[in-house]
Amino acid sequence: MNAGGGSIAGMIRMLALFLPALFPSWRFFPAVEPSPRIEVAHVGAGPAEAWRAFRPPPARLTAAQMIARLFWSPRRNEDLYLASCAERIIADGRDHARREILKRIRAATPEARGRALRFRLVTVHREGERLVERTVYVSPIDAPAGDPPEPAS
Amino acid sequence: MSFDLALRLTEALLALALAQQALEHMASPLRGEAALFAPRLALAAALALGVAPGWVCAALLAHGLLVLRRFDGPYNGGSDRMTLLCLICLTGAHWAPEPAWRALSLAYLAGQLTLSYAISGWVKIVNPDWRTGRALRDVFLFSTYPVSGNLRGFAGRPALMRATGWAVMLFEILFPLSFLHPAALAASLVVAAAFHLANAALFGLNRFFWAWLAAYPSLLWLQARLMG
Repeated sequence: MNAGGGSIAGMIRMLALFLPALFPSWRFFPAVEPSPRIEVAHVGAGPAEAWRAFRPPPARLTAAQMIARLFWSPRRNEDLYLASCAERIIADGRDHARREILKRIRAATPEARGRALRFRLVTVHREGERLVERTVYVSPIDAPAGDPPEPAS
Repeated sequence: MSFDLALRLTEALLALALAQQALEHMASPLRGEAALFAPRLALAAALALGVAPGWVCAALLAHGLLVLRRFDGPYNGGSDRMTLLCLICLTGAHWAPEPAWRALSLAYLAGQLTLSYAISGWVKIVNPDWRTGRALRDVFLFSTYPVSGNLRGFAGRPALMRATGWAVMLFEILFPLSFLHPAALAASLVVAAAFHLANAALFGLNRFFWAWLAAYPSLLWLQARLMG
């Protein structure tokens, strides 16, 4: 019974993913929404570590680097995917997106090996002429593999 | 441009887009990502060489759906959607039972390509923030899109942002009119490709460039068929 229900739910989910490809909306940038950044903090026995921006963009790119990125830009595309995951968490708290962000933070930061960490999402938007930052999500602590995860609160 | 040539060019350009995506994923240190995208690279090579293109397009479409499921949605937003749309239309163009349906499948891709510009122009032009240049300033000021910190300086040039915003909106919204003449269409596609190049350089949207380029032959073919 459950397996049948699961497969129907899976088919509906698949259809929901497929239909926007067949009938795309093409509504690119109708408005500039609050923009999410990912910040990471390692958590240990000592004092709490400060939040750090995860992979901030470089200060400057040369024209040659920009052209090269037309052909090869895996890290930038992963950053765009992480921004999508952040938007999915903000929109509906999707657990898949949370796990994707954690997995990719761990893969990109060797110093995270064997250490617990958490991430938070900080949106930036404009109010009048002022830029306003707001923390909209803080993940549960992610224990390194082998340690028990933090119970959901 | 004949139907067969348009089909072949679309396949070849899409193969480039798919190979580029697959190679980027295969460089990931994450377990399983290289294995997931190795079949895409092999199928893209087969598509580029024109080996059993009907079967290869169907296999790439199935693989695209698997990837969509794996990432719980698109990995790269609109470019994944355009890639899948190309695959859907190419698969239809190979497998539809009647020549008219095959042609309709490629024409659907051309129609969606046209809509992709017209709709994104329309949703901008109805927004006062886009008309004043404020929205483009905000893109540079605080969105996650600029590829480097120094590009945020463009937000401090409101006249440039307003002019650029209007140029983008007018180009996008008027794009369908270029369908009326082959020279106008060719010129518009050159401008459109330059627009995607700029987006790739400034915002890192490189996959959009390759995915949209793959759809251009369908529009050139449809224009020649309907207006030629």
